[in-house]
Amino acid sequence: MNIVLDKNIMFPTITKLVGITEKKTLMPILSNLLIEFTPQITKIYATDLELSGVGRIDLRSPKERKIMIHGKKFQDILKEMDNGDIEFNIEENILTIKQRYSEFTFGLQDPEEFPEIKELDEGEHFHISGKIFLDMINRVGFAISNDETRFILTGMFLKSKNGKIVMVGTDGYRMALCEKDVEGLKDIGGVIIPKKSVAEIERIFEEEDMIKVTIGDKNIQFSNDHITLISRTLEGNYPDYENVIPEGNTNIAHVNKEEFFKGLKKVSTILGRSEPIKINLLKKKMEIEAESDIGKAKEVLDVDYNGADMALNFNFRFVLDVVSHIESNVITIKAPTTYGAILFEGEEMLTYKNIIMPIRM
Amino acid sequence: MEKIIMCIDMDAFFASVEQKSNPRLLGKPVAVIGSGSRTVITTASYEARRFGVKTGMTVYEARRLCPDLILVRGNSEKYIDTCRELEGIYRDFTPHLELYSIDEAFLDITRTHHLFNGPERVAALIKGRIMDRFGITCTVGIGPNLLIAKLASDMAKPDGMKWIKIEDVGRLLEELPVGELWGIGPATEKALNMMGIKTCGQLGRTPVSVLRSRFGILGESLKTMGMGIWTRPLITGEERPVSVGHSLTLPRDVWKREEMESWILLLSDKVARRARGYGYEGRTVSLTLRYPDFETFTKQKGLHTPTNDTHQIYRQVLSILDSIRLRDRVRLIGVRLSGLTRESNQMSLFSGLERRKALFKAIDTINNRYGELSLAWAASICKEGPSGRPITPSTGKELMRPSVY
Repeated sequence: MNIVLDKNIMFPTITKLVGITEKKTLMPILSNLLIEFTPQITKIYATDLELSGVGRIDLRSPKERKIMIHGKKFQDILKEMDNGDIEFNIEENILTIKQRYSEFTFGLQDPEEFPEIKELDEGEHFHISGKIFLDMINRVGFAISNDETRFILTGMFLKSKNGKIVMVGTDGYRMALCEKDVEGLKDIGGVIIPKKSVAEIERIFEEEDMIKVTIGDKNIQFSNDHITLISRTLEGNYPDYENVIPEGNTNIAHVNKEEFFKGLKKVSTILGRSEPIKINLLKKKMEIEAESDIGKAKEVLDVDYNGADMALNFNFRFVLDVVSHIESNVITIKAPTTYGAILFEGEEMLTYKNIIMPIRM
Repeated sequence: MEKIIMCIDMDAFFASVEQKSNPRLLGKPVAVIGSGSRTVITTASYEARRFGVKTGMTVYEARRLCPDLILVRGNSEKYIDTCRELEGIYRDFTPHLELYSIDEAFLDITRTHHLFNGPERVAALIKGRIMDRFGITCTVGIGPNLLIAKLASDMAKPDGMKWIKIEDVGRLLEELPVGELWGIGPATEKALNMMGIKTCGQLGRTPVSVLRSRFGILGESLKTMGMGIWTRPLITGEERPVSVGHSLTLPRDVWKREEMESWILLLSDKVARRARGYGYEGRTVSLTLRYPDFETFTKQKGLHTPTNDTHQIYRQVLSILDSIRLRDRVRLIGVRLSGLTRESNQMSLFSGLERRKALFKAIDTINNRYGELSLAWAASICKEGPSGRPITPSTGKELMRPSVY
């Protein structure tokens, strides 16, 4: 069977799907892509068993045929080829890829060994603009735990209620929560999406996409016209995030974001790996302090604050993450009168709350 | 100023402690063995050594050499207590000391020996106090560096004292076989002999380039060792620990996953408890495994946030185990926590973790008061648990997957 197609029809889809293939050697078959040629359409499959991807390209073949090929190698070959037509020749178990004076020949493995990938055809679903969806993921993704020992927190929580879509990420010490009204939304109970899948959604989808989200029994699917991602969801109870959002924090400061960010960066230069950063809230003033075995640093900012004097210690990374993700000129810090969760907010079009627990001194 | 380093090596330490605590063993050939069922000789008393019984022999070999050998199961708590008290004695003579092992210590008495009328007098005082307190003997070696001090104590064993002064080092090393030096093991000795280097004198005169081409960077140390000037600073206890680890030769080779899990939980708990005791958390967990043919390897994995939580360490070790394809049964398991930093007081959002911390604190308090394993995780208790008691086999899967945030 002979197929000729333009490099740029296939290459972008291959690049997106190769990211899903398994790079570790525990199950070598998962480093492959499955390509299914049919007279109507060509589909490309990749999976690491947790997350699967299906790409669709507008390429009609004379016959039906499935082949399995090493994803990374195939991508490398396509990448090195010139723009323009590439010829694929599949005979028995041999694939030949040709372009002018270049020729590659491979033996093909049995495509039936590739794990079956099921797309979700039915189930609760909604559509959401890529711009909103990706922005929300970006706002909470950084707070998701990497700690495999606290399994349930290694996923992003997603639900919709009363026309609002809610996303939450937390590692148990800080939490980011984002809410947005979306038209035509149905209520969906919570699902927890693994961190790797979240990262792949960010990599594969674009702002211009209209993303269809379908919720299955043990998985969730994201798709546009060209590509579908099916991710396993994490089973278990997500912690009661609503309950930890502080309500009565009355020590409220308004800080210029730019100054806050710069101050943090400056002071952090002397930090080692584990020292905290200290934020002192005083009348009309905020001090950012750090101390490590190489020395001390201090930055004083003018802020709008009339509450009681407070000294708070934080993991520097947590504060920097929050400040860099709030998109507003002014950041509002709401601290409790005793030790407890501190709330960070901006003045934004969507509801975006960040909570950081302090370090006890 | 010329350094004066003292090496104090307890004579047949475990055996001496046992003989002292059970006078019926005095003057008899005694060997201390480990607690497992296929243990080896950890220490033999001097009476037993006369028959050729050595550390590392199997019980069978030792009995063949010395049929009247009395075997005593080691009690590490007892040795550690003694060791702690010994440290107290040493500290009366200098603050600069390194507890190299349970029965060896190095003291830097450069700046303090004059307070006691010289190094030999310090040695005599220490020997006297140890004898008064514990009724056991030790050997003291004194030299200008660790290497020579250790050599001096090896030469003076047992119950001796020897001072090798700096001016005598060269003459002494000239004819000394290289294998007698601390740090040159049988393999290195053999390699050196193959190169025609038999004595330390020869080793010291060998060009460093020759040694480097055969031994790599170790070559340079070897030359300075041959010259008797090799040294390193004492590792005094004031610095923070770099890692905490425990390993265990299992009572029998293990193949079954559940059994491995149960030992790993026990070791993870010991490691975590020690880290908690020091007030440290670690961000790297490693697993060491040994096959019956003694091939040993270690794999490690980083944690996102430092921890000293038994189950976090345990889960991480299991995930390392998942990534290994075992080719045989396992003879030894080791768990280590490294990348230590001071315990953080980071507060948690959800009450689960705070409650866990409180739980570990309570468990540690109980075990510190009533002895290790007074309170243990059910899943870490298996038929041949470390205490040897017949206990219910492990089924505690559920316990292992706590939903804690």
